[in-house]
Amino acid sequence: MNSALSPSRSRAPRLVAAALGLLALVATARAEAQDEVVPPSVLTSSDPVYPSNQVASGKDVLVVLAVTVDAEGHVAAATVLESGGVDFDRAAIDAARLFTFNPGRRGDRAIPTKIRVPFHFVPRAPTPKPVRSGPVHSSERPPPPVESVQVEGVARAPSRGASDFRLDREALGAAPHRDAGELLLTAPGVYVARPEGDAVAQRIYLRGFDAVHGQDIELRAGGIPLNQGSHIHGQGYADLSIVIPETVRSLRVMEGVYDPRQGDFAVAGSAEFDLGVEQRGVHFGLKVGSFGTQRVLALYAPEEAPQETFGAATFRTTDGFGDGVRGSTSGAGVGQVRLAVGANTYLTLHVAASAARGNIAGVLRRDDVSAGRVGFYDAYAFPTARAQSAGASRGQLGVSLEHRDGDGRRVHGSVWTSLTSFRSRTNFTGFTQRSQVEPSWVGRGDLIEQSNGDHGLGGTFSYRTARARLHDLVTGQLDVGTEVRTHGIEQAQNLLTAPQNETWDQRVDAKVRSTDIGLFADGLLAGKKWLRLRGGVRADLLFFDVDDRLGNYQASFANKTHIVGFRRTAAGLVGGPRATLEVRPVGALTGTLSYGEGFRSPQARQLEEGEQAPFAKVRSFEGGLTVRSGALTASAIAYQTNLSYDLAFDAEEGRLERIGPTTRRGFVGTLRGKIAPWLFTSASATFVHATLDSPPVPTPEDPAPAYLPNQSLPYVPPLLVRTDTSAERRLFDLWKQDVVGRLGYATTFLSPRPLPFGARSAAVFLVDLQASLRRGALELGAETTNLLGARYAETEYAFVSSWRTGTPPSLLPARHLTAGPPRQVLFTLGLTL
Amino acid sequence: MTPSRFTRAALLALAAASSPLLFAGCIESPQTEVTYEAEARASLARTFEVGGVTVRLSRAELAFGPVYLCAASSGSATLCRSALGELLDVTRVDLLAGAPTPLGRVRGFTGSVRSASYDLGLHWFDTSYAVEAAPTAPDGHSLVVVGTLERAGEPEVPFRLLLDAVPQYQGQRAVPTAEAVAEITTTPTRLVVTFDPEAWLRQIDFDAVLKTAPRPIVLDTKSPAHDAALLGLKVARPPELRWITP
Repeated sequence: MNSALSPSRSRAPRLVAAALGLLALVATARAEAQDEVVPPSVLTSSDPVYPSNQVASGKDVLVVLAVTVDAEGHVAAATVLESGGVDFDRAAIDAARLFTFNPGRRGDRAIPTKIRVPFHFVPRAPTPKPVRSGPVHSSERPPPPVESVQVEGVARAPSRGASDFRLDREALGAAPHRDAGELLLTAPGVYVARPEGDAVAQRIYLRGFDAVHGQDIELRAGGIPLNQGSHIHGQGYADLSIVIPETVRSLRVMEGVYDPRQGDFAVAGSAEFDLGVEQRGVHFGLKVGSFGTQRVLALYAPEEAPQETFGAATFRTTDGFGDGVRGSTSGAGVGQVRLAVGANTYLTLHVAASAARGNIAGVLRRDDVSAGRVGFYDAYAFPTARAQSAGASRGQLGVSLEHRDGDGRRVHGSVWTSLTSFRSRTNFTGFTQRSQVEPSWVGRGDLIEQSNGDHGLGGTFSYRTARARLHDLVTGQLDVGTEVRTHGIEQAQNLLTAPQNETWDQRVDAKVRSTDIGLFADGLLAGKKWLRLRGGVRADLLFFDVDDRLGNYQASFANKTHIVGFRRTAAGLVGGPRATLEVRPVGALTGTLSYGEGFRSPQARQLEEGEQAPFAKVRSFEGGLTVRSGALTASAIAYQTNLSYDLAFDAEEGRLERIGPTTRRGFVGTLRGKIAPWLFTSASATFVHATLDSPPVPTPEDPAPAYLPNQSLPYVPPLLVRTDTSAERRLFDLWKQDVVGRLGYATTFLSPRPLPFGARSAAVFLVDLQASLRRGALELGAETTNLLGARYAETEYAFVSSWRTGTPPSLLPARHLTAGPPRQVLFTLGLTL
Repeated sequence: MTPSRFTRAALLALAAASSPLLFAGCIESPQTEVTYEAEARASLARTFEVGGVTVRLSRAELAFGPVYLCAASSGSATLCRSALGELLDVTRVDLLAGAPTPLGRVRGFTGSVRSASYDLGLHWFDTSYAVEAAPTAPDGHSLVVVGTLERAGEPEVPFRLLLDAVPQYQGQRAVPTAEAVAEITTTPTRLVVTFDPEAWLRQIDFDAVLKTAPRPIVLDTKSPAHDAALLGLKVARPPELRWITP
């Protein structure tokens, strides 16, 4: 164990590089550069001023700030860790912003760091004194070291290009979010909807991809992958209910596939929720408001423990909007502990669970809504429509161990296990289905029951070499690792008659075993300051064992010729390179070029015996420019993504089906940072032209499907604009204590979305707003989503349905919608001890 | 560049990049919605002779619809769950009128029509527990023909043909697959359905009817003459669907 964790400098790189054919580069090099973080040191400082209006109080006050020092040594952000009151906090922040630093370093590279800086305000003292060896307050004295150093959480992964977005609490907390899935909205090019209620995963759109419930976006929380392969409700299904928003310290959204660590389902990109709590202590939260919504939160973050150590639980109930068909009850709990178990060695234990049950209103035909046959926020009156619901649960356990050496070497290992259940009953099409078991049964209501149970086990192991000098001007580093996961899945799909809950057809009854063995190598070649090439390869082996208990099905009227069932195995290999070239010609400007190949695994039940598993292969290209000026960062990105085969929602089966190869081309513009010390803003605009590259696959029903070159992909909004803005200021004194006001809002604009058959949805513009007043430990506020009360379709589809609203029934594909939530107001109460 | 100028420039660039007008023309779709008129045409003489029997007609009415146009070469329920076009009206057509009868408007999409399926006034939809007659079906039947039969030298005998074209099972159309070929584009078009009822009636052995049928003569589903006429309607000379430029 010791030798694994502390390999000698000369031997370990050779062994690793030999395995990957890169020995010559690394083994001949001298491990020289240091990976240990060198904290920033103060270059110039400014004395904080004891607030004049507090002199009479004679208080002895301690304020502790978390100061983010960027790679150029400027203060990028300063937030209060321990408050001494608004005036003292402000004085400390004002002073801290005038500091300049020698930036923190990892090896040769200047990096942004976050340091903990305490200020001790003593009355009548000419200048306040920092605690112990805090920042200097006189230019005559030598700059003292900072108090403590943390480097952006556990280990901030290196950037993979202009579309590697890191969102901290300030950005994530600017606007109200109903759940963790909505935190993704802050990232450029992301739109999140929840059309199937609180117990079904979010539907995510990312930079031109309708990722549905996770088919095109790899999601991780606390390092544990959330996507579920071969899920009955949609490939890559990932429910973010297990993430409590208040425990998300930062969010990394990588748009594109440029990191060899990105695995299955990283087609449009990936998102990782970094769990941690900056504000230490005990926090209780309560939200009460529209539609009988109530949410309670309890969060405990021990003062003396690192940010990764915390416990939290939340419960939520709501009647939901509309006529009583969206009620839900849900909850989640998470506990995480990070322990130092040796020199530079940390053990993290993570356990979490979530459960939710919710009713579903389902889809409505737009013509029925227009004709007043059903209300926009209502559901059809039939029992088969009113019986729509879902219930889901997830439990997960993870353990990770990390060891870092001072020369840059790092060994990391983790294991996790998860147990999930899912059961939904949805009816998209009304009364169109015919039983396959008894073909004379028809018109009993297309209430599709889907169930999926998944037991997953997986882990990662990776080793990073020391930084080696390859040439006078070039250093290099290599990281190799493996990621494995195996799943046992039980799934079924039936048709039910409501309200008797009688089964009138069986569509799926299968057991799936899947195993994914991934191997990646990630290298770094760094020139002197302005040039850096980072990248490598990833390869995955996927194996499937399918027991399709309804395979080779025979209808009841047919003569029996065999026993129903079809068992099969399939396997496939996929791999590809990923790389990012970063050029920094001047300090404020960074240019990046990225290329990467990723993949999506197939739905196991669609595989034939012995089939070479047909992965969906994605190729991403991107070029970006990022400019930093003070506390502001702006970027412009052009990108293209080619996908070998895409999936689209099939209402008849309530799941995803293949449609063919697709291409997305687009541009992204972003602006993020502090316009003023009290004003934060984040804005982005994402344009995409998403097209189908070849005619859809002919079927007996449509032997020559209509096709146009550059045919737009349905459901994808070509333009998505998002802004998040927040302001926080001291307002007044109340009973000798400061009252701090906070205001935040977000706007979301979706351009009209193309729909099948030449239709186009209406544009959507949403405004969310939150405001609060904080005095000491108490915070009162209100938040409203959809402030303007926009009546909009959260999702739209086009397919054939029959809801008995017209005779004869129409067989033309018709527009269907799920209603977006109307204006909702919640009053919030927070208590922090 | 100062932060304020930087901010202004960045916001302007963002606003320009997000202008929907820049991208207004980018959405391409292979199919567009179309709608056009349909009409029925029939040529039926009031008097004609079949096998030495003179048939004189006073009433001949047919119920037609709904019609579904399919991209598949078969219009059966399993292969035409999604139609390319449809005519949902059920129209009573006076086959003796001589003039075209409007059938309503076809709604659908551009694309290749390869088959059609339709009902003749009697339908058994997915959501129906039994065969139902459309309100416009003549006397609740698909086809009603009223007239007299006369063999030379014999008195005229009145007769009624009550023809029912019934779907075979729930969810199926009475005529599940009919020939219909067209390329529907955005160019204006019109669907013309041509009926040849005389051909249907010529399938009937009126001589046998006169000899064996009880009086008054009612040719309904119990009569062999009913099946013969139904064969004529569905197989021998089915309605012809053509698209013409108006």
